[in-house]
Amino acid sequence: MNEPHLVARAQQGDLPAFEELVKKYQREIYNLACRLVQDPEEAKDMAQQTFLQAFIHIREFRHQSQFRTWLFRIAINQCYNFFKTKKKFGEPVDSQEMTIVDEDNPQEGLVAAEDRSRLYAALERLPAKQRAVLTLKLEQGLSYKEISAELGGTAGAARVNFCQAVKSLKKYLKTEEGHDVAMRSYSTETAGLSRR
Amino acid sequence: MTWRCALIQRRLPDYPDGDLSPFWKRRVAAHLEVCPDCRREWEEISEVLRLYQANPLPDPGPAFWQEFQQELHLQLAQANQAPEPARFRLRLPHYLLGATAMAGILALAVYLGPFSRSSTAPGRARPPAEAKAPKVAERRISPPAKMAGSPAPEPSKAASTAEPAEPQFSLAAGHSGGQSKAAAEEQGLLSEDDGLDWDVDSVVADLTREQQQHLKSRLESRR
Repeated sequence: MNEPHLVARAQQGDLPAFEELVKKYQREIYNLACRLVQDPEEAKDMAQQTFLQAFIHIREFRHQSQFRTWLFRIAINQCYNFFKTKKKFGEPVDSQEMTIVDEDNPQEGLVAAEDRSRLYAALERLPAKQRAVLTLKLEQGLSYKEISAELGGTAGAARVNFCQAVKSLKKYLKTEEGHDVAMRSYSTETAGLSRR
Repeated sequence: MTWRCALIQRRLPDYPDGDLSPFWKRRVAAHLEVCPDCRREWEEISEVLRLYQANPLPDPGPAFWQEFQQELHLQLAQANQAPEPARFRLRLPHYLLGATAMAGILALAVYLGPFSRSSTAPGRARPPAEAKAPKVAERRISPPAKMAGSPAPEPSKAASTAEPAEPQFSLAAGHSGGQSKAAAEEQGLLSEDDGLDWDVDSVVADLTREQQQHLKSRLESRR
């Protein structure tokens, strides 16, 4: 069953059809929320709230955009509401917890874990909007026009946001690199731990 | 950094695979060949993008998604059972609302306003003088009711009912009765329905034949 048919059935209140849509997009929505709120548990709540709001308001979806980008919009609004209400950005993603170390080649796994740790630490320092632009552009593959439809503003503003995000990330990665040299001994001790 | 470098570096994150027009792709490529600073900047940006794309968020695992779907299913089922909030939404386009409201006002004005006097609805349009008549009718008892509630009238008393002592209620509406009726209408004491309320047969039912003949002769003589 194709997506427009599933959406049409979900608009008539068909819960199994909507759950098919949930299975199709749950990973993308969860990843977007995880990048934005930087907390797996909060991201899970945000993703569930996103699908719940989408189900409640699915009759207002007029097929003027893709269902996928409509979900992105709801998820971003949920995360912004989370920032407004909680007045905090939550705990950052614990990269050590989410790192899967390659058992066959632990040295490569160690390098990858360090890179990931640096990346997450640098991403944490970015504003939420720039994280959203990076995620939508690099992970979800949206164009600047689609990003501007998600986040507001124009396509040119989305391009400027993306450019600033990349430059800021480059700067923070350099500072994290210096910090990482000092912390390398600690990382070496903990790298052998797999996911808890 | 020259102004040309600033112009090029704004587009480096989109080079070579991003949303760049063919014109800008050619221009950026030509500039990178001659400007080592911009080329170094582009290599660093490419390294950042490569690092980002090489480290996607790991999948939490099937157990996580199973728990996610179970929790979400409960929330969705609860939301599906909740009644949809009733919304008052006018289905008309906004540009027709003014015309609809104006038509409603005009219809109300025609029904209640000065145009209603020319309407042919029975009992709707009454002269102002007649408006007082129901109040008077409430104060008095209608003659048939009075007659039904009272014992059988004496012949002389029955005859006196036909006397023009109360001209506005008299059956004997002769030439003087017509004048008194007109006077009563002017005073608002008599409505046009009063003459129709009399049931002559019930009035004269209790009278003897002689009294009925007498009453008839009196009525004939006054007509």
